[in-house]
Amino acid sequence: MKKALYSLVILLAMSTAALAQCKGLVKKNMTKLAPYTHNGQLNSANLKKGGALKIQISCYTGMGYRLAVCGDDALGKLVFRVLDETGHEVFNSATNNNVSSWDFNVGTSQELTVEITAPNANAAANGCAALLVGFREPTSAAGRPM
Amino acid sequence: MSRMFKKIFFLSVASGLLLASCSNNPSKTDGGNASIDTTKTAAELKLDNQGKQLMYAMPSPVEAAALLKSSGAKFDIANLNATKNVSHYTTGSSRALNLGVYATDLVYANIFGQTQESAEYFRCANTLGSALGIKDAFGEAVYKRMNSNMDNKDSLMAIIAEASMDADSYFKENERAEGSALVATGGWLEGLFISCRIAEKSKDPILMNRMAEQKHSLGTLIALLSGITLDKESLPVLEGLKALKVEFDGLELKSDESKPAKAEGTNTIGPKKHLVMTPEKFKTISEKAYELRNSIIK
Repeated sequence: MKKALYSLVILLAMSTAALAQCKGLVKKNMTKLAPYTHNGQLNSANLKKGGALKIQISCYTGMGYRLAVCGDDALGKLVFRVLDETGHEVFNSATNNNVSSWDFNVGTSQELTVEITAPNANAAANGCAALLVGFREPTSAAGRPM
Repeated sequence: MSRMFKKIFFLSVASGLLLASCSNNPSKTDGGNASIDTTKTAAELKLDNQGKQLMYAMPSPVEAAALLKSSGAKFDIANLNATKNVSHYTTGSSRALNLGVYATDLVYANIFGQTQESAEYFRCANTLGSALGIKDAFGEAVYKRMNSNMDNKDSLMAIIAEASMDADSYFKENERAEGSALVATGGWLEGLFISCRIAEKSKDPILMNRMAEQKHSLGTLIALLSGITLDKESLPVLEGLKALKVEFDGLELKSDESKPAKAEGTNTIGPKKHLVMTPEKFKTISEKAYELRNSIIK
């Protein structure tokens, strides 16, 4: 019983450390959002090869968004895709030069799902993956408000 | 030693599996139990039917305030929770809920360039954060950074966004999923309250439609709260949100007749539609919102 409790404590401590590490990773990558404003949310979890993290976000008409994905080096290049409310894929980084961020507007306020995977990770790799969401009032390609 | 290590390793894996299976449990709201379930991991993280980790991003007070400002709303301190109320909040739940309320008030004051009010609301967030054990999120160091950037609204917003993230992270790191969800709830309710008050005075249909869009985060919030054990103080809040959702679900979704403005080089998801907020629906929703918000700030 004592050994079981001891192991549980170790496991919980490791989870806590992993979360703190995730926060550090997010803060380090905040600059990827500029000139968008970070929405102040921590959307991250542990990921490994073969696993997937799905994050449901709310997006509003009249706002422009940037989604930026980051992860521990051990996970390799992360892949992310964006699904609309009907489950239809509207973006896939794997078919867009493996970019790590994507800018968009929404015609109607809606929930989108962002799915992050680590297909390039080693079989035993395990690390933090995070989604950063930035927003701003939408502008034209020339930088003027729409 | 090697044998002992194998045993520990095995038990650790077993414990991990046990914890993961706990987070898959369906709604565990408990009407009679005031305890916080500390064995769960972050409330937002479950597994979907394909075994993928599923997380609901919490509504963002930073974005909600920006939405209001972009709609042409004006600042009115009467729309915010009075700072003197901070001494009323003595339980864990009321502190968490009102930390969310004051954080939203702080963002709102800041986005409208109200520096003195921003400082006062920051102090309220600091008071409640300290009482909840969140020493650094709204602490002295953050306050100094805010003071140094009072003339730069964008920097201030970034500082507040980071403080919100630190608070959220603290709850998650300390296995306090309820705290995290209640802060988000208080923040969302305050944002809705402010939207309703502004829309009520201005009668501006654009502002009313903005208010209608809060429907999207409401579903997320209910999913979050339904996944954790709430105490007697917080349960009525969840019930109030569900009653609100019934009203929001009754809003009609209409296609915009004009062609959507699309700038060259931008990606736009979906056609242009909007939720229609009729005067009758507005009255019902705003009355419920006022009642619920006022019940948590008293």
